Amino acid sequence: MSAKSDDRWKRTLITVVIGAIGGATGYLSGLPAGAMLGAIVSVGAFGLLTDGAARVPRPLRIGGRILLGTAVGALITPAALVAVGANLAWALGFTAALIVVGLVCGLLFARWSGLDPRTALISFSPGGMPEMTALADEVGARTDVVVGVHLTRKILTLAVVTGCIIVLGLG
Amino acid sequence: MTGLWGLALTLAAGGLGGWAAHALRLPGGAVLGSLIAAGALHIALPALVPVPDAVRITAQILVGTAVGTTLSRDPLRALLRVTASALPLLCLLLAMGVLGGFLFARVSDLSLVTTLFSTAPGGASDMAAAALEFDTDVALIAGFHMIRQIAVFSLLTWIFTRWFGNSPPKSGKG
Repeated sequence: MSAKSDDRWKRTLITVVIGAIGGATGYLSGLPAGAMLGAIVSVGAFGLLTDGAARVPRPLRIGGRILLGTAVGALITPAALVAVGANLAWALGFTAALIVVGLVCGLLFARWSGLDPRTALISFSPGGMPEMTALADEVGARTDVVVGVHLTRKILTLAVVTGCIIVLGLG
Repeated sequence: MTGLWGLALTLAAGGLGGWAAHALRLPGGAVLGSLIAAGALHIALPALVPVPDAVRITAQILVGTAVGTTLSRDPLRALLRVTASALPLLCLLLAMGVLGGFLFARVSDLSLVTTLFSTAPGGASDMAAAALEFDTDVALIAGFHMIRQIAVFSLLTWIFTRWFGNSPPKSGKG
């Protein structure tokens, strides 16, 4: 095994251990979404302190998503499917509104920041971060800005939604 | 078949579905494929029980760890240079999601927690993982986010590749 490969394995192991400790601490703290938030905060802090040493290989990243999809899928009942169907018009309508607002925000971002329109528009497109980053790369937009804005949106959203639930006593 | 065999069958179905959708390069394919496969199995075999808490928490920690690795200095440096213009717009997008959640709760018979998670402009896997902690309709929340991500990706990829093609950007301040 080469030194480079050794280093990758070491970084992965350290990242997973830090994520597990942070996640377990968050879960035991009783905070809403504590397991996930704990892992994000601990691994994020490690990544920032070491300037990007945190590493999760792609198969493990995909595996985590598959495990999550499986856990959620196992909760699907016929009643849940009926609820999705009954609210489909709302889901599509809201998505259309969100796309329009995202495009307007992107145009304003281009004007206010001086960035090129493709970077600004993709930064504010309300799609998944991996897909939007790939799209940015494909059309020659600045992926560092796109990742930064999408990452902030994801973390802000998680914080605000769980915050709303705690403040309103819904948890 | 509600014990270990049931769990093994659920994980196998989810794994196959997730891998297949990911291999087909569907947006959010890993979550979408595993969700549909495990869901179809659980509807076909109602005797199966949901996966144990340990699996659910492991999934949340893995997703959280993967999100955490995206935090590095370069994207944050790039963001810091444009924070003044990005932050108010991000707040606007977020406010729209929260207001949409309140409105959705009023017009439907769903709980406010379910609608807040459904309309929040976060990632599908993050929102579903966080919602697992609450008494919500997680399948519905994941379904909403999948619809949004597929619609946004399909539509915007089409628009942007036509608008911008593959030519280099004209300016790159920031």
